[in-house]
Amino acid sequence: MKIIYKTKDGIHVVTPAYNCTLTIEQIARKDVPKGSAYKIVEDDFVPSDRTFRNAWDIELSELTDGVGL
Amino acid sequence: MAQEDYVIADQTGVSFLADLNNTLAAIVSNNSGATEPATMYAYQLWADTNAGILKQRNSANNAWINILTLAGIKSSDIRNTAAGNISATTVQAALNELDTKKSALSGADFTGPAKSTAGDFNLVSSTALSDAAATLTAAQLIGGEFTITPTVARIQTLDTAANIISALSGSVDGSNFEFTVVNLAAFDVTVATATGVTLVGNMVVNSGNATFRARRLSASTISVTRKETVDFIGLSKAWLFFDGTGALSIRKSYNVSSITDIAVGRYFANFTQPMPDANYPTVASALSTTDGANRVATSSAVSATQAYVNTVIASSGVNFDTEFNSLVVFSE
Repeated sequence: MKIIYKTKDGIHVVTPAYNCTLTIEQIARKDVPKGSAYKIVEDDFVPSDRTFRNAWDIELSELTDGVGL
Repeated sequence: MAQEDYVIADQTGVSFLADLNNTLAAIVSNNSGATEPATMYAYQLWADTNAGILKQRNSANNAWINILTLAGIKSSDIRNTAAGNISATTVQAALNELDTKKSALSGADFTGPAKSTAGDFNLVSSTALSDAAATLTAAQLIGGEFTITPTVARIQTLDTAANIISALSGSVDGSNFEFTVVNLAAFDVTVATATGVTLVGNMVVNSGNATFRARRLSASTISVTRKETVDFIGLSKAWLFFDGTGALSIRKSYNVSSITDIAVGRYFANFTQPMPDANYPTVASALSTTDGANRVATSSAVSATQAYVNTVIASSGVNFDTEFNSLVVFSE
């Protein structure tokens, strides 16, 4: 699972540490900037081809799983 | 009970008979009595009814040797399978030593204020200290754990040695106990001395915890020694080893909850437990094994909860994803 959120610099992708005891939701609320909307997605939702990484984008309306605290 | 001098005097028939019967009674009862016989002989037996021990006079006729208890426990019942029987003398010497040490042993070790009824663990008292200078009382100290969240540097003064020793009922020189100070903030907490107390080692607890051992030196003095020898300030508070290519993955980490992929060659490391503040050093490195181009990794603190890692191609300074990236964070 990964967490996606967006800032003025573009789309950010949060990868949880496998040994972290926090849940994905707890990590999202903690590690996503305060007030930023996020979406929790499966790993394969994020492209593994990073050739155009800096061009990735997502509609804000799709970030519906919560807001960073 | 009968005891005799075992000397038949020149006397009349009636007195002789009485003397003879008394002697036989002394023989058959092993000279039993609450006090030793008035006349004693080498190797003579004496059933000491006061101590409950059958004793035998030594060869020099100047002391008694304990043989067995009148309840029937023989010294030969105690066996050492490796060395054969233990002599009565050895057993008695051991018993005498145990008697001598018994009172001291009863108060020789204090690792907590009280034990469970099962006796298999110690109870520790917990005291939440106010954000102020204070005196740690003897009752709080013995087996105690203190927590404090200081907003400025604070001094916590120990109770006097006299009060601490008084609270250690039955203690002897060498009796000891431990107490722990847990500092939940970044300001120093200093354990200060009091009358009769000698401090040994670093008494400053900074953002973490420290355990101290208090040991009775004499009837009026104690020493307090810090147990930890490791300088925790010198240890890494978080580290991260990750692959910045492809789907991006964390290879190994400590105190890192996640990594945020910001853009090509740019990442945030997010801490599980935050640093005390945003002023801490970081060290980063990057290595690529695919294209042979040298990489440079830079890093810095962003906030108490987040550090930044930046990886670029050395020759151009252009951000580039790299397979082997490391970040190490130090803090107080």
